[in-house]
Amino acid sequence: MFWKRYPKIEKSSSNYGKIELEDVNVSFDSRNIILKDFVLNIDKGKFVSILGTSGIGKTTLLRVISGFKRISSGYIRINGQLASSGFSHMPPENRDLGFVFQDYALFPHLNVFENIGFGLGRKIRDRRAKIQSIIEMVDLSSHEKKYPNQLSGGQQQRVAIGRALAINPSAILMDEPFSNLDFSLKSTLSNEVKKIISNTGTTTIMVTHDEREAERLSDQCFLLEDGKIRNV
Amino acid sequence: MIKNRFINKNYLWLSAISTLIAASVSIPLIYLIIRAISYEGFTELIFRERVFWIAFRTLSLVVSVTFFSIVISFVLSHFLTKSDVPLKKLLTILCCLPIVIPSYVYGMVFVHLLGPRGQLFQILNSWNIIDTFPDLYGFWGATITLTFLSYPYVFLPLRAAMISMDDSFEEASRSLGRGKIKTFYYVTLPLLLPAMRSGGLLVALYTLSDFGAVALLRYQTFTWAIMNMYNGAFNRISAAALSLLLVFFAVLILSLDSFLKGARHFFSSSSTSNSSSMIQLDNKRWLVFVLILLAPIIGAFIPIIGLLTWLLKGIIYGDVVVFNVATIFTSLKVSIFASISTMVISLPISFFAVKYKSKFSLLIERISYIGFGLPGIVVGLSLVYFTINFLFPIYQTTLILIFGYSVLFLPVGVSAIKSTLVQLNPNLEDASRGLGYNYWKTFFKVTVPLLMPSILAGSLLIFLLTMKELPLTLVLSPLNFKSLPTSIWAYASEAFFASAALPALILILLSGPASAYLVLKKNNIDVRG
Repeated sequence: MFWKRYPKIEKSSSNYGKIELEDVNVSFDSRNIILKDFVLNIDKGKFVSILGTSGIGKTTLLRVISGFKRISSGYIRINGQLASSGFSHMPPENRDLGFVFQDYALFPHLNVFENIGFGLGRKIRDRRAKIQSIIEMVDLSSHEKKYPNQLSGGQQQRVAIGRALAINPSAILMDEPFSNLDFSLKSTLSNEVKKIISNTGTTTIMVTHDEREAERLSDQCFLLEDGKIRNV
Repeated sequence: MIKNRFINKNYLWLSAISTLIAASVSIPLIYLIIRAISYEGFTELIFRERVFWIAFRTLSLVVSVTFFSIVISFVLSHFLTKSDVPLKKLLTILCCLPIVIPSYVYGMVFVHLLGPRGQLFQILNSWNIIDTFPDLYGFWGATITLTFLSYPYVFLPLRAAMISMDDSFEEASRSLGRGKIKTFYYVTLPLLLPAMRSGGLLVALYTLSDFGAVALLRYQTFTWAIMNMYNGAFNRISAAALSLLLVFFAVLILSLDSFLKGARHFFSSSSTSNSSSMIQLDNKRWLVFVLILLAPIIGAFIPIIGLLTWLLKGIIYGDVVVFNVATIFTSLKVSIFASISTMVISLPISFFAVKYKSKFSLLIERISYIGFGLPGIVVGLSLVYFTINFLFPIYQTTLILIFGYSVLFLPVGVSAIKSTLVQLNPNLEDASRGLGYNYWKTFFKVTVPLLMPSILAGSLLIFLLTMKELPLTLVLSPLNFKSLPTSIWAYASEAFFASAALPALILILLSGPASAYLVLKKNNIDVRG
């Protein structure tokens, strides 16, 4: 077959929402080792934060989990299914994960409604209603026709979260989602985001360098250092 | 400032000068239109079946050249920005080289190498490989020639757009469940469309106005028909009537561009993330390198090598290689004068448009862009008719030739100055005024030095375009006027290829440094590699 088919994992499965990394090694070259025999297990519905200084490999860790970067060796299982190993690689679009980028990566040629509905495809039933419910959830009802350049930083951030949640992913990965916001907006929005995610019960991995933010929002915090992880 | 502008001396000066320039640029063309429409056989002429076929052939060529230029440019830009192909910077510079080759030079080499009795046929025939060779005259010959010459006009903006496009857009799409093909269709393509459209517009207008290549490759388009009618000399006004149709198609292309621009909402890529998703070509790196190299080989190296071969063969076999050194100086002289005069008249129009924004200044600016969509032959004809009827003393003089170049390339000058002028911090001029400098002293001591890089770039581009311009030169040049393009054209038309090769090589050599500067400037070639 030209492309491989990956079975869809049922929500009722006990493995749904689980993310496991086992002895994962990632390097840019022989000198730049980013992750070394890296082990991490995240249970369904948990909100986990990964702390670490700039350039330590936090973003790379998320890119590895989401499938944008291949691993040299080890295993990554998502929803109990093998997603990455030294020999196999499941493409990002088949991993059933939502990703919130640091710069939000909102499509500049699409408005709020189209951005949020992007991952739903065209043929899905009740598409409009589903998008509307997400727009209401992220409190952007009066902005759905606006384009990203017409939104404030906080509104853009909410679109990014809504877009990632719209596909109903098994887990959501957030790369420094509040780093572009000012202090007051940061605390308001982070609480809102935590509430939205808690309501949906989605497993969440957030990378940040802000210890307070991590402690306030997460069920569990880890520190990434020298390619390995340790509990905080 | 708006309220007081009618009593502002500077405003009055600028508006008067700009209006005078706009009138000089547009009146000959308006006159041409009036004459053409009032021509008795106008309707009969434009509704002839033959004219319909010429229109069809012209538009087919425009569509095919634009399409293939976009395809080639996309492939080149993709590998030169998103893959680890070796020697990227060198390849990028080489891919821009075809810009320096005039279309009539390429057409001449193409015919000689790939024509039915061309060099390639003779070599293959002498080895008894083939008896006949496909006829590459006509549509496909013209398409190949113009595509490989004009693709850099798309390649440069497309490459810049790919560099500035944030990788996270594609990654976001993949993370939302869209595969590579859907991501390309729904995200990559819409984001690259503005660059493709602006480059495609230039290619379409270049193809529409080309005369040299289509004439040598015997493909009958509007420019070819107009020049034939004009040279026929029996009824020159019918050439004007036909050129009106060419204007119509140029306006049609420009309107289509505006329509497409209007249909899509404005957007821009804000930030750029590092290209962590570089395509690893592994053992195919050098294969891709060679494939990319094919574009400049076909577009630039083959014509240059072809010209060198003719010249050497001509010298070795004792052909008479006629060359008048004065043609170099004539070309340089008119090109330098044209670039200086165009930049001089661009300055007031740019200032008027930026500093005194109003509906009137916008109108003046729009008029100055007339030459952008108009083929050289139409500008040339309009000036011929106008000078014959109203300014006969300057008909067929170097003065009107230089003025013709200025009309044609005024948009280049205005956009070069305006693009920098709008970004200029007004506080700098205010600071100078606050320090005791008056308006004009500030203008010469602060504004002009800050605009100098743009003025230089605009001048170089106009110099380059004037050096290569053929149809306008053929129509407007004085008697016994011999420049490099007219010499090449004269020798090539008579099949004196060795004699045509030398001025062609000199023309390429003289245009080279200016092109290199323009391509390397403006971050077209970034040093990130």
